[in-house]
Amino acid sequence: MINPVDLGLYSQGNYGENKSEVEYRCCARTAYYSLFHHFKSIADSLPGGYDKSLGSHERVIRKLLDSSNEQHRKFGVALSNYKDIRVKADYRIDVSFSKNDAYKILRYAEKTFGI
Amino acid sequence: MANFAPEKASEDAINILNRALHQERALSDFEITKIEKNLDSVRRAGYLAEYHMAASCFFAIVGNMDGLLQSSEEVFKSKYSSSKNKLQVIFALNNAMRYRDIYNYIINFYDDEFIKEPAFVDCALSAYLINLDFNGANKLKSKLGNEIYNLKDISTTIALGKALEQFFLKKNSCDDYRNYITNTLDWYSCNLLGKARKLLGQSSLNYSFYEDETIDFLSISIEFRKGELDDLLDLEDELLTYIASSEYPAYVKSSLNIKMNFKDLGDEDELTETVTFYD
Repeated sequence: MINPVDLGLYSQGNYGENKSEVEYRCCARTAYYSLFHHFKSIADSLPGGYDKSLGSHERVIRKLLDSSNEQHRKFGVALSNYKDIRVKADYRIDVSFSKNDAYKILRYAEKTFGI
Repeated sequence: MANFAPEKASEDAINILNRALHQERALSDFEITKIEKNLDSVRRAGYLAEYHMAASCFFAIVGNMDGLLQSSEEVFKSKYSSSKNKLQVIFALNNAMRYRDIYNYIINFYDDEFIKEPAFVDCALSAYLINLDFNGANKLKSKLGNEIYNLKDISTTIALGKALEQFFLKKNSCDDYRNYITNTLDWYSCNLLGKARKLLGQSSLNYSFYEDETIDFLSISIEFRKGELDDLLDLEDELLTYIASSEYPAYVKSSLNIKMNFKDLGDEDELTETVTFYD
């Protein structure tokens, strides 16, 4: 079984010199999912349920943002900020996806996991 | 002794500011000392309207918000302030992302002469849009001559305005969104702008709209062209802490992200950029 850090480590492998746009997209989406699963495990542990009327990402973000703990709310803000990168990486193949797009979320994941 | 010319002293100060703006870099310590010396000369000579105008421009660039707001107020309330001085202050407020203050000045003080100046029109439209006053933006648009309306920067801002209006039409409670945007940008200008200018240079605002899991989202990015990613992440961490501690509903913070990024080459849809001052 893998954990969020494994996803973070995998995303590192898709970043570097001479990588293709496909690899940068893969890097960004995997870095996002490493963060999503890490923050979801925190949200799972918080009291109260999820708002099932929301999608799977949004319900995690909203639960973190509604937390009484400021650090948890900060995780919610961060995850919310990075979701446009995941959407761009997954769905917007009509626009270019840069090394820059991948690097910021990768670096944030590296800092979060200390990898 | 040579005659002291306050206009020349403030003009020299503004030339130094414009040089740094053109080169998209922070002011050097030497330049700051030179500007402060010039401003002090103008103030001591009693040319207070001139002093506060030039000081506003300077404070906006170094991120001194208390100084900027105080000097801006002095310029707008002084009977000796020219229209040009007031425009300079609008540009200074724009460069410090003080859109709520620009909005308050333009709704309380309006000069039809201003709308012949493209940089003012861009700043004013941005201020209306960021304050989610789409009626105000549309009213201003209706007064523009074709030569201004069709300028690339203006038409880009107008197009973004339409997209913003569509986005917020579908949202409840524009008040929460308006306060969230303006308070966050005000907090940024007071707490991060000066540090960001030193580490990352000048910035612009970029807006992107997207949809995910049937919800419409908007990202507002404060974008930089150079600098180190770790510096940007450290500054953004402070921004995230502020947003996490602010008292807005979760749906507001989630559907409207305010963040910091590096600009990608090819991005052209900024809402507004740093404006150079009149020489």
